Amino acid sequence: MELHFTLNGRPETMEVDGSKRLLDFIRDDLGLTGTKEGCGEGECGACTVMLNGEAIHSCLTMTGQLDGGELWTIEGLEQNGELDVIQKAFIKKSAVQCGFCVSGMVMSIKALLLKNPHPTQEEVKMAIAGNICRCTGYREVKAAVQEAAAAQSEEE
Amino acid sequence: MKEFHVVGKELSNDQAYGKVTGRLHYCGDETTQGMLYMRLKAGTVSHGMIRSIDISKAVQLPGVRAVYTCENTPDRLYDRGRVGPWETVPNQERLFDRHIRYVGERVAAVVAVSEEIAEQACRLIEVEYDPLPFVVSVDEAEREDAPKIHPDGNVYECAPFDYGDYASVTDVLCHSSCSHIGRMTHLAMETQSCRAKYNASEKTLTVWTGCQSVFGVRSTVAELLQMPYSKVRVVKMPMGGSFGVRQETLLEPLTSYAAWDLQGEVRLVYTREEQIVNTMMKHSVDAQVKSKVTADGVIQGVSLSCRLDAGAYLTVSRDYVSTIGEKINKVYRIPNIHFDGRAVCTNTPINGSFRSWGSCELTLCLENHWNMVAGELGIDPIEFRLKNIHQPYDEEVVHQVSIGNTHFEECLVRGREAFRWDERKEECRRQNEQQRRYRYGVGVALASHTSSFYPYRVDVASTNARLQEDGSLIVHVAVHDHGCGTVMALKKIASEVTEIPLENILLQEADTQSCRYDHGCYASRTVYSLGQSVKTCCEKLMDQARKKAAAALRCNENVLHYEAGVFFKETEKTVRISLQEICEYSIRVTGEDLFCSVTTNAAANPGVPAAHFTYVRVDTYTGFTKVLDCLSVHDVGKAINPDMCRGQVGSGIQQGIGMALCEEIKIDPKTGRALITNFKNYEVANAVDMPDYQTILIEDPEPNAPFGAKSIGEVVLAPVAPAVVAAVNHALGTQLRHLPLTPAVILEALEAQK
Repeated sequence: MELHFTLNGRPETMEVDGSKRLLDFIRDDLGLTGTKEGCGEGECGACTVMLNGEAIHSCLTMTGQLDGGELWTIEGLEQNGELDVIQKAFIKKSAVQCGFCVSGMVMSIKALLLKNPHPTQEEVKMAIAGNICRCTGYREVKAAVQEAAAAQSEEE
Repeated sequence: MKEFHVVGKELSNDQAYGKVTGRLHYCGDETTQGMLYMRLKAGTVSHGMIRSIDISKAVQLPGVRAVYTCENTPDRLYDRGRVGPWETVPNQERLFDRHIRYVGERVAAVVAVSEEIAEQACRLIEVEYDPLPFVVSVDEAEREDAPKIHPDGNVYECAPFDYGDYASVTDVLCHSSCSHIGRMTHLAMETQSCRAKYNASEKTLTVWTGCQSVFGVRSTVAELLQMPYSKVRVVKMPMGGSFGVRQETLLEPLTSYAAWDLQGEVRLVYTREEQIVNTMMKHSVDAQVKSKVTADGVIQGVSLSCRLDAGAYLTVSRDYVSTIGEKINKVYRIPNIHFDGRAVCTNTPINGSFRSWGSCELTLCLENHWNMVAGELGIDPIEFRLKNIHQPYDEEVVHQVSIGNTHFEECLVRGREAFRWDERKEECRRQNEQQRRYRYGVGVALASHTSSFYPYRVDVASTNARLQEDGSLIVHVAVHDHGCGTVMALKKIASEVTEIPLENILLQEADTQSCRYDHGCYASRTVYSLGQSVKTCCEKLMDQARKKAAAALRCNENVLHYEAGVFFKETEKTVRISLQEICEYSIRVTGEDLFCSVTTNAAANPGVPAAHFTYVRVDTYTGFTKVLDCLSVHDVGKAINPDMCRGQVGSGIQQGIGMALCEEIKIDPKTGRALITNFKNYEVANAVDMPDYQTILIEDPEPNAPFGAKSIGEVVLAPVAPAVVAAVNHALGTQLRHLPLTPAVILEALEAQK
């Protein structure tokens, strides 16, 4: 099928197999390997991307569902050489260890902060409940989200 | 205390930028022109011989390049746990074996132009088996008449250890307890991946892998392919977590064989199911602890017998058992000790290396026991420990080496205060008095671990450092970062010594071609052993630079001071020379390159006291346990990366809670098959489940350690589970020690109490 969508803010048109997993399309066809596969069944969150403002599991989504939509992957967050507030906060708060969950985690948080710029601790926990991290115990991640939310509201 | 430039500062992940932007490539992210992809076919019998294997349909599928089975690959044995060629190891594995020993064992591999085609071809392979009798449980496997999984039987004893004479201790109170730990999966977020490329014109092989020992992988691969070690290059790739699962050589032999055979480049990435079933799991352990203790709580003797389920191949399990014994005297002064243990093979998936290699198992069994003993004697568990702990510089009796500048007492005392132990214990008593739905409990446990291989293996750590022509620095050391910031720790050490800014230092991960020999990054030795090597090397390099500076400035080197990349005369500050100028002088005038190469051998193995305190709430209606709050106190000597130290504590707590309460890979008693092969059914704490936790790092520098630093990465796990178990038992008045304490186990215990 011919697929029209925006990728990290830029319009794209491509001929693709709409039944392919969105994760494979992103990694293999778009060559964007920042999105990871941890389980292939929507349980670990490593493959999270943002489609039309919602954090979704790209391993459970078909590429055809992207048609007419707006897709953001981790590669799109750094703009003009400047990191997104969430990325900066992850570095500042030492929320990055092995890093394999980080792309998905950041995308879940991106979707959260778009809808809810001032989340409570409970809302933060719920937003990343589907993103499993084995390295940090989540404390640094939660702190990074609060840091990012604060930085974002300062910018505004 | 001395003010450091970079040591002890935060921002400790060298690759954080690459990771938050998705720019960093893990092994499975790499594709190249012409790359081929491998998929595996899993066997379906518990135990049997392959009668026939028909690959004719698979090889005919367009896009398939090769199909490998036991009929067309070398009949050569290798060992996944081996590092050096001099090691005596079980050597029970082949690329493919006609003899299949567990459900899920690989029986064939397909290499094709895409993963999809390789997968499809795997389904076209037809395998017929002659089934053999099999054993699933350790009890069955130990019986005299049990079917043998390997020619030498199923039971592998390790040499017992005795100190003093446990049997002869009298006039004391005897206690006995049994503990059980279930199988776990490491759950590293990245599944195993490996890429190998054979260069036919150079006759060289390069292997990229997120491993913990590039030299171990090289040794195994080179011998399997009968290539000189010099022609095989192994490069450590970023890894998405290890927790022990990347310690052994798993995917590399097969991937390398295919690359060599096809004279091309081959990539293998495991699915999550393969990751669970075909790497290794954490051993299930059964242990009996007996002790002799005086009425006022002084330990006179301990005896520990343990049995580990090795799974279908022995691999590292016998060593694992002996390691449990070797660590038995790291925490308490005990005048009489007995240890014995064995590993038993069963027709189940393989068990092997797991974070802390014995420390978490040993700690669980002993601390469960001491918590029980303290309870029976009516002594507070912290008071009980304070009567028995090692004091700084005590000698541990197994290896007869000093435990170093360790502070068990401070860990307990500071933790007790910070956790409000006494008040909380009293609160729990009050809360539980009315026997309402929720019961509350507190628990504590104490652990230690290693910081090097010394003395059970000569700890070899080598560093090369060369000053570049602009005064920047390249350091080669065979470091394998698990994702926890060890590259940055070593870089900080280099920067602290040389005062060269971090951004001007290149220190990459292990590569057999550029680094000198190293056993690998495990036993929590990286910062202590490799760190000392980097520090020594950089100090010697700076000595050379100082000599060159003195020669260039025509003065005595003793009058020279050094600061931020410049040597200068204290009395005449205009007489100065920068590292860049020294490099130029050295090359152009004296005709010498400025480099240094050292090998250091850690000659100590300081302990790392760790106390964990936890507060839980048990729901007597559902059996569900919630950890409400916890605290870990760690004596780390010096935290080079304090933020990463705290981060690792969180990960240890998550794994420890999992071990205590919910994580288990159950085995089908009828077939030996793993009953959980995916993420969905494996219970692991997420961001909602994880409690808030506090961390206290006790920093009193260890002598002869790099800036005083000891280990942290594995000990963080060790005390967590037994503290949680103690808290549950405190809440319910039970003596549960068969892990995990799932809601079903707890409801059953409550039922039995009625």
